[in-house]
Amino acid sequence: MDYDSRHVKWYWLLLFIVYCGAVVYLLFSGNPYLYSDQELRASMSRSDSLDLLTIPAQGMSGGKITAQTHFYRFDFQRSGVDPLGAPRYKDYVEYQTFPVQHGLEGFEIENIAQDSSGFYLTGASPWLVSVSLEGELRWKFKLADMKPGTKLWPALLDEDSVYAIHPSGEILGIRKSDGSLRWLTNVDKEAIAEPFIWQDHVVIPVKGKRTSEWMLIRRTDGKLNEKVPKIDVKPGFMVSKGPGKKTLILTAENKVYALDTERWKIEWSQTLTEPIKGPATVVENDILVATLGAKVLKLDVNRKGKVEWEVELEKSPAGSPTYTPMANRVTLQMLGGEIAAIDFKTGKLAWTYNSTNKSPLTDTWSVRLSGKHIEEYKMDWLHKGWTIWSACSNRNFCMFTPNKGQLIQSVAISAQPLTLPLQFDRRWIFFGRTPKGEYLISHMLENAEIKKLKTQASAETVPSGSKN
Amino acid sequence: MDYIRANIWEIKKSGSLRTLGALLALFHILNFYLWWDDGNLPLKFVMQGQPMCWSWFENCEWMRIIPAGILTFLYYSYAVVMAVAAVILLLTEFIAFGYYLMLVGFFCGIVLYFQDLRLSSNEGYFIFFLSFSYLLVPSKNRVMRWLIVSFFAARGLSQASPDWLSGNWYREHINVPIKLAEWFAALSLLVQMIGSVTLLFRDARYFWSGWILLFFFECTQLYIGELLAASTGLGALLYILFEDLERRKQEREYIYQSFIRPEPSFVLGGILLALFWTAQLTPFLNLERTSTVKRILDVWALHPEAAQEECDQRTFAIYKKRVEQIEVEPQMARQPAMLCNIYMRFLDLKAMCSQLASDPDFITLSSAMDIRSFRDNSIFRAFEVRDFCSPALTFKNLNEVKWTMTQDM
Repeated sequence: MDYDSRHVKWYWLLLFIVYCGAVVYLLFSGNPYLYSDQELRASMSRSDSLDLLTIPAQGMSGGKITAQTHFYRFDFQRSGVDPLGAPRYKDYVEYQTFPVQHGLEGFEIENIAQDSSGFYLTGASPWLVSVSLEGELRWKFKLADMKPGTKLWPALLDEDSVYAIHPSGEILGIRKSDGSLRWLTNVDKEAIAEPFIWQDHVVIPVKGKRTSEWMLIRRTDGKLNEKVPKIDVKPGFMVSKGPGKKTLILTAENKVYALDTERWKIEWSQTLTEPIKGPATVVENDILVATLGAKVLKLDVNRKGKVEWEVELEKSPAGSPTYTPMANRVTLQMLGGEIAAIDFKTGKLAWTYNSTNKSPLTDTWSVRLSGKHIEEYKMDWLHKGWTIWSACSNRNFCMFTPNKGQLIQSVAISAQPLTLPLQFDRRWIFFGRTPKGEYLISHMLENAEIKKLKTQASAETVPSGSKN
Repeated sequence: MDYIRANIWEIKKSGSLRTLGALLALFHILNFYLWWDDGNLPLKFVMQGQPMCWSWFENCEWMRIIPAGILTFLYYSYAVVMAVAAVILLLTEFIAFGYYLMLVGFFCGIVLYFQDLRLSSNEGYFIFFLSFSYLLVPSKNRVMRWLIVSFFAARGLSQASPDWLSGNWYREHINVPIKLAEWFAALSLLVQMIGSVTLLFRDARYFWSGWILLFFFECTQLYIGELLAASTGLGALLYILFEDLERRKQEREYIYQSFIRPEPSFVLGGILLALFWTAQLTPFLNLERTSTVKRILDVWALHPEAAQEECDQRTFAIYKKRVEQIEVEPQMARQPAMLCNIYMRFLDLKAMCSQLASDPDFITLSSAMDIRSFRDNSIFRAFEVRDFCSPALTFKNLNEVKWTMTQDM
């Protein structure tokens, strides 16, 4: 232990220098933040893979693909044509009304999905509520809390499940029968357009680096498809099914796109002079769109969306065009409730009906009337009784002949309809809102049906009474 | 007894070791104060139903066999005995008495410390590990110096993670711009890892550079409000200083010294150091999460000071006619290292089950949790259970339960 031993030997110094080098290496290797690139920070602080592990991780066994049961405007072509196409009588009467018992205070319904199992209600609150066709609460499901100003996307339905999409990117497959969770997937990205069901998947369009990215979530188990199509389309687009099995028609701002879903490529796009109102209506190989500049246009799919005709309206459209089969009419409601009918072939304005509409339902729909009414209103037999129906007045819906726009019937209902009616068991079932702000379900039936039901009911009560 | 006597002899002959004994006793009192300030933490955990086990125990219910009355006695004895030991070691020549008091206080403290994992902290680890070595490991001056240097360096090593280097810890504690916080975090790592190693050098230039840097670092920590961590750090630096001065004095008086006993062996100290460093390096060994080796080494590793893991838990409360996605609040505040602890989450969920059980419509909780360490490329599904409130679900069978099972258990 002499004084000299306090001097650091060269090999200790070398070891110390190597150690210092290792410390600096650790510092740099562990510290991506020394680089100020925001994307690098984001990718390090949150891994994409973290949120893509579904619950359950292994997926549910025995899941099967079932048919989609709810479409906004009756079908994915958004045609607004009564899917049954069966002849009906005009004398509808409100047979029963049921208050909606959602059991939530201050629940504002903004989106209604419906099928024969009931209504699935969503809005700005994190609740998805399922009520029966008689308004009784079946179950309700509270998703994660939401940021102010956001709302749940409309629920998507197939025969087994309802798919709830949270604005944060969480997608839940929920069993329709009891409201239990089937699976949960989080794409952790906000949807930039309304999600929809396409074939085996729930499609969530999200913002990509340069284009939109479409997250395809398998309906059976919630797993994300490995291939994430990148589609160069503007956010906020709306989707309709195009001709054939593989084409989708998208509308965004003033553009119409045809998308090939086999290759996930835009086949063509057509730029219009004005922004488009609502989704496109697809009729075989033709596309109908209404613009905010008060025009209706027909585009030919076979000619890359070339405009076949355009017609100017008196007022801006309130909804998308509806096609009336056989009669070859294109109808739509204008702001205020006036109905305009256009000839599908020539693109000439056929008639307008100066009705008013105070309800939020601004879509028209096409329904076939029975032969009795074809004669009564001197409609052409060739057109098989197809007529135009629309919400009208304060709490009514009206029926019009397609040729001349003659009012056939105006039927009163207790609440302003919020959505196109559900066709179930010869009933039109409307989901509406009363002037007091309460939600109400109205079952509309033909007079003859009501008589039948009443006779049946009395027949059932007589024997039971005679027993006593 | 010879072994104990040899240990006492070693302390008696070194002024710096006597000072260290008093400092360690004071650290224990500070530790007791922090437990007391949190509402007598060890006693509080014992009163609660389910203990949180250390990872080397399969089950720790047996730890609760000690009656609460005895634990309360041990708890207060711990403080009193350590206080008396500190006074004796610092102010009197009754070193052996002080030593025995410290030994008794140490065993009181360790019984309490191992009652619940939630009592563990880096500072607690430092105090108990150093106390154990001080009381029972020969070649004390050397072991203490190496251990203190190791603790500083290991703390720096545990900070070599993106969580720490992001500077978030500093931004949570002091109001500084993000860039400055990042530099503070990087400097903190460099000072602790390099500054601590210079304390091993006998060349005064290196020694003093490292000592002064660490001193200022610990003063900053004290200013930020890390009372226990900074106090133990400053105390350790004080000991290193005394020990260095003492060694230099010994070197000057070398020719007058005679050895009545041989130099104590460093073997046991070396084993302890090897164990300590193996545990600190476990994050770099890529061991399986479920491996026994990792479970044992985890006990000896320092807790990361900023949360190293990212976790994501989703929980659903199932009622008769409704399901609610809920956030499960922790039962009490916890340090960042514990945020993603599976056992803590398990206890939180079980507590939530008990809370919600009073609602007649409540059925059960379903929950799934994912964890990803920043060093991992993939995530790890810690658990996914559809019926969490089932009495048959225990922490042990948590991994065996699958969501997809028709009957969870």
